[in-house]
Amino acid sequence: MMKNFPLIGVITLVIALFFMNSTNVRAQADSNRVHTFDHFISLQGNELLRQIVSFDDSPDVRNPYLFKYTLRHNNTGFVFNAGFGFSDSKVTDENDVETHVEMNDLRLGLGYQKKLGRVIEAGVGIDYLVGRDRIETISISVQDFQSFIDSSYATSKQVNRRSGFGLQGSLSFVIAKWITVGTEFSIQYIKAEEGFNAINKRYSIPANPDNQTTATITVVNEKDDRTTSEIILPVAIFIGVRF
Amino acid sequence: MKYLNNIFFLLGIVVLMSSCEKIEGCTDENALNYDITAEVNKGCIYCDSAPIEELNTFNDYLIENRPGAEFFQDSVLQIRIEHQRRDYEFQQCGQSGCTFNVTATNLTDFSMLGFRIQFEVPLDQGFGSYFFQVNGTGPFIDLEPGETKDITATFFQQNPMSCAEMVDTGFSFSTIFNGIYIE
Repeated sequence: MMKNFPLIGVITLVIALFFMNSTNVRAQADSNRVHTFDHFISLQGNELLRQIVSFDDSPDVRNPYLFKYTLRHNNTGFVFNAGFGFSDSKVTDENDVETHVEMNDLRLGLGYQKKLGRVIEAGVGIDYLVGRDRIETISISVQDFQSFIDSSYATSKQVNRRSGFGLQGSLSFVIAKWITVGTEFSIQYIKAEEGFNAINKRYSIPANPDNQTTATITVVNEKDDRTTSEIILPVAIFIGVRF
Repeated sequence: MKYLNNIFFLLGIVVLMSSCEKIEGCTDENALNYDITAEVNKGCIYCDSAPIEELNTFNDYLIENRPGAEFFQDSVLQIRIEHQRRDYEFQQCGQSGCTFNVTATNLTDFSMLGFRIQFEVPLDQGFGSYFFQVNGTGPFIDLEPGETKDITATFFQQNPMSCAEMVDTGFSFSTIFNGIYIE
């Protein structure tokens, strides 16, 4: 069930976009009418811009939210913000060690936006942040020593779970009626719990079937709690579309 | 309808929020492979899960052989010996091989306090025997009338690699060298 949730989430958003489109068809008939709500979907565009314009000493982008959504109530300026970042990779090296890296970040928050002139919009808000990173390795080795076979199955997991709060500020330039380009900075207070687990199962199988196979299991568990406060600089650039 | 698309967007965000796959592993701290990072319990390994194979069982009566003792030359204890084989997957659980489980039943109408006994059981094939020798640091045997108790800990442990079967004809040697009867 859990594995289908991303698909269900995407389907739900697609249904919302369908309703949005049908609503906008009627709204476009009267282009002077101000909508009660505006929707903004933004994507982090640093990698795209790096392909176009390359600066050798461009600073690292530490903003984990690749995808942002903002729902704005135009009469009051109050907004609901959401940000989502996701990364998943699996690599097997020449020694058949499989490494799986997964990173997830989510933020939800409320804020306020105001137009500063015709093309600039500024906003402030407070967010609840939650995230999880997982790095997992699996390694299998078999060695034949003629009189016995030595095999081992080793796994390791490093998991970082974090949650906290952040104050964020944003600045956007409306470059077209439906397109915005902006950036944001934030001050975050995050509590993280980092766990490490390693399990090694080792089997020694004798060539003589009358001798007994010996097996050992070695387990290491470590846990570390940490609290961090940091400032995320306005380095990430978001390209947004308004609905 | 006006707000339906807003509700769908919010619902989509919430569903995406819970889309992280739960980390599977053993969450039981008492298991061999406890995983501190696991969120969903799966695949715990325990030593107790190794199956026990019953080999042979032996029953005999121990006779009071101390001159002047109450019940001299009477059968005072029934001894039952269960021979078992257990193969552990991992060495941390203990040595794989054969073990004995010894129980004693008080056949008298008196309470038995502070008893120490020893006995030998011959092997079924070939020479030799299993010698159940008193472990000086082990507990004494205390039994109420008619009571049955596990007394395995009163003897030194047998070599687990010895899995030869015992005879079923009786002790080759047995003695009581400590203990009193209380009415």
